[in-house]
Amino acid sequence: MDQFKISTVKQISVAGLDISLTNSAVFMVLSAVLIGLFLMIATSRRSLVPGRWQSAAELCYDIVARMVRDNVGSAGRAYFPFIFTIFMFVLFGNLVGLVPGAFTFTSHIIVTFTLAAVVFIGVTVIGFVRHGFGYLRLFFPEGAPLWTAVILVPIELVSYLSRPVSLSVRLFANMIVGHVLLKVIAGFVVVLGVLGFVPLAFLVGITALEFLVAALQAYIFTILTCIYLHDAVHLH
Amino acid sequence: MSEQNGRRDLDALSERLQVARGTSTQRPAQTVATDGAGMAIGFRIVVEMIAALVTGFGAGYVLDQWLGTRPWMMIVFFFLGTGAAFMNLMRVARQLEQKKGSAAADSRTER
Repeated sequence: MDQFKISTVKQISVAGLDISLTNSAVFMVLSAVLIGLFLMIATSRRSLVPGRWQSAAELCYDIVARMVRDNVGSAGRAYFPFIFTIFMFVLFGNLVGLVPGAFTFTSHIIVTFTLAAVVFIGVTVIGFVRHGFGYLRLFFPEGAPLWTAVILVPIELVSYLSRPVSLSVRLFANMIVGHVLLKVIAGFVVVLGVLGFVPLAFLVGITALEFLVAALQAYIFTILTCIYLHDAVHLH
Repeated sequence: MSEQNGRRDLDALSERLQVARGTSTQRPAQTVATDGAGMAIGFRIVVEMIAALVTGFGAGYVLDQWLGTRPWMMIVFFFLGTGAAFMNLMRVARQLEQKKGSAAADSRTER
C-alpha cells in the first residue's frame, strides 16, 4: 500500500553507506521538532493557574512521572528524561501518522524494533552496572529447588529475549492494522455508491478509535519500559 | 468575621464539588474506557505469547545453523519458547491483578 512505502527524499551517501533522507526520517524529524515546539510554547508562559497549552504539557509530564514513580520507584527518577523522550516520540509518531497524507513511522517494524532494542540493551546494561553478575539471578526465581534450573533458566532466558520482540511487534501491529483497516473500509465507501454512507459512518468511529489506540500504544510502550527498568533496578 | 465567611464559602464549594464529582464519575464513561482497555489487554497477551514462541523458535534455528544440529535445537527451543510464552502470560496476569488491586485502593482513598 502506498502509504507505507519508503521513498527517498534526498540522496546522501557517506563512505559508501547509504544514509539517504527518506520520508520516514523526515517525519521522525518533524515529530521531534513538533515535540520541541509544543513543550517550548507550553512552558514559555509559566503561570500558577495553567492555560491550555501548559495544562497539556503538564498532563504529559504527570502521566510519565506517575508511571515511573509507580513502576520503578524513587530509583527510577534518574531515568525519567529517557522514558519521557520515548513516550513523547512514540505518541507524536502515532498522532502525526493520523494526519491524512502523513507517513506513520511507527508502522514500520524496523523503527519500533530499533526503539525496543535501545530499551532492551539499555535496561540490560543498567542491570549489570547496578548488580554486577548478580543480575543473572533474574533468570532463576528465588526459592525454587536447584535442579529445576536446568529447565527454568533457559525458559526465563527465552522469555527475556522475547521482550524486545513483543515490545516492537505490539506497537507496529497496532499501528499498521489501524491504517490498513481505515484504507480497506474507505475503499468500500466508493464501491457501494449511494449506500456508501454506512462504511463512512463506520470510518468516523474507527478514526476516533485510532486516536485512542495511538495514545494507548504510546502509553503501553512506555509502561512496559518502566516494568523492564523495574526488573533491572530491583530484581523481581 | 470575613474569615468565617470565607470558611463558609469554602465549605459550600467543597459540597458542590462533591456533588459534581458524584455525577461526573458515573458508569457510562467507565464502561467505554474499560472496553478499549479490554481489547488492549487481549492484544497484549496474544503478542506476548507469539513473541516468546517466535523468539524460542528463532533462537533454535540460529543455533542449528551455527552448530549444524538441525533439527534438534529447533525442537528443544520450540518447547522452551512455549514455556516462556506461559511464563509471560502469568507475568501479565499478575501485573493486571496488581494494577486492579491498586486501582481499587486508590478509589477507596479518594472517596
